Amino acid sequence: MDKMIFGRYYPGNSFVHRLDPRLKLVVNIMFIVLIFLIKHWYDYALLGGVVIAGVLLSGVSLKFFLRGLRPMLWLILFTVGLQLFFTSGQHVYWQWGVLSLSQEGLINATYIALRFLLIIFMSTLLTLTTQPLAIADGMEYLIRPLKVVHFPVNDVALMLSIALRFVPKLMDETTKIMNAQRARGVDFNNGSLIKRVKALIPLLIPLMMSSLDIATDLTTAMISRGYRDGEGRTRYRILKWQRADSLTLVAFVVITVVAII
Amino acid sequence: MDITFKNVNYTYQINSPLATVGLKNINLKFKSGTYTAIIGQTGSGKSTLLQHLNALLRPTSGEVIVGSQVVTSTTKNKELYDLRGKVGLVFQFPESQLFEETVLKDVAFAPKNFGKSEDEANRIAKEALHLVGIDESLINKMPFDLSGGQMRRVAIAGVLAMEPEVLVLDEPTAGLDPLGRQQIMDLFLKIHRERHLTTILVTHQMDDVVNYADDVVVMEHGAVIKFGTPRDVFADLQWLNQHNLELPGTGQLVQQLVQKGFEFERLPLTEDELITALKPQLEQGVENG
Repeated sequence: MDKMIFGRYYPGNSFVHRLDPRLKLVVNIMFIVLIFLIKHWYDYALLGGVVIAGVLLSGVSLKFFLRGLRPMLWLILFTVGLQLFFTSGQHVYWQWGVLSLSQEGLINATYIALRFLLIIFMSTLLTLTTQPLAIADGMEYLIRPLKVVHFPVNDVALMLSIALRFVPKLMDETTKIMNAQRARGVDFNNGSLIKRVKALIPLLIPLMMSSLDIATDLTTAMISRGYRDGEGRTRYRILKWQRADSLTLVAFVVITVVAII
Repeated sequence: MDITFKNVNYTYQINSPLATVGLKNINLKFKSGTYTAIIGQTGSGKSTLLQHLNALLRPTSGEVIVGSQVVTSTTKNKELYDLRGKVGLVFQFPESQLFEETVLKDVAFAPKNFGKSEDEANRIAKEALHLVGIDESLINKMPFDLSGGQMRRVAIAGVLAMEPEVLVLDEPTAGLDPLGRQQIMDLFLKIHRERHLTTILVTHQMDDVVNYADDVVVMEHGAVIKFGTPRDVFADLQWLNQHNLELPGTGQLVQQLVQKGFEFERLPLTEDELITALKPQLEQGVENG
């Protein structure tokens, strides 16, 4: 689990770190939609430029991003491979049998690879430069309009921030229980599929039990500190929209418009 | 079984910007049959060191030699199976590792994993449960129905049932009441003597150190800063203060007595030693009026 870079926060104080989480979320969503809309190579070049600019401004080394890519590499290669060999193009054939290598396949595969890369880079940039709690705050703000249709925004926001807060805690707990069971002779990495699935029971049951314990303790602690429900609370962390945020948003809107045209 | 650390270094998340040093150039020898306590502040690397003892972590560089098994950064998991069976590790709050339907099954889990037959494993499990003081009537209950203290005992029995040669204890009494703490610590000492174990204990209780341990390892920032008998380690008050370590309860009392004019040839560490040293002085005091 040490190698997972995706979804982790990298402490820093760069330009990107200081941007408003709401802005970063919106830009991320726009970016993903945009990726699926564009069709030409120069649009990809433009978005690639945006990502590189983001990485440079974040002050996190490119190597770090590349390492974060590694766990996803097989997924990318697999999809690219499928596109490459199973696209039945009409223009240029190259190979034999079911497998064919066409010009369309080649182009599609490149685009798929680029899409993967750009999306992973952009979302990694978001999680690396934004603290989980800030992301939760940003999301809460963005889903606030749903209150109109009686969507329980406060509750969802609370669950989200609690969930995020406990991800590392549960990760630690997992490692701890895994080690304890390993010391009692459980082998998590070897043996047949059935054996490996069975080896997960001594891990999953304690993990569930400790989650229940944590949940009970946490609710008790919250109630005794006067929590009733999400309505009518004031807030401690307040998001501040700054000029840099406006400028970045304008810049991104301009890029979007240019890319679509 | 002797355990030797040779120039052991360990770094968490090595080759990444988040890399943090866990252990720095550790050279240590835990001799067969000794009882060693490891002390140091939170985050000083004690637990990291413990996980090297049965190769849950492998050193980034250097080697750990457990019995005849040499563990280096390149040792494969498969080679470590025997080693894991010989080193029993009781983690902090071990009750969180219980998972089986009954207490007996849970305790028999480890011996079965290390190749004992069902009957044999159940027999050993019952013995271990008796040893830790769990009543016969509880062995077919669900572990989760037990009280916190009982769960702790069952978890400890689960490790003892492996019949290890080395017993590693990571704050085994944290969160227990004073009586439970005393019982568990006495149990470990008894097993240590009867089965000629090599015992390694991580603790924040200085009283446990002087009452039970032969040797003490003091750690700070991932390095060993002192290794010796409890007497060596607790002799230098200035040094202890520098490293934010405190004296055991008796030691603190002795310090106050010294200020009031009592004299001790050698520093009494345990209650018994203090009483022996104090008695003649008090009697003399009475005689002189």
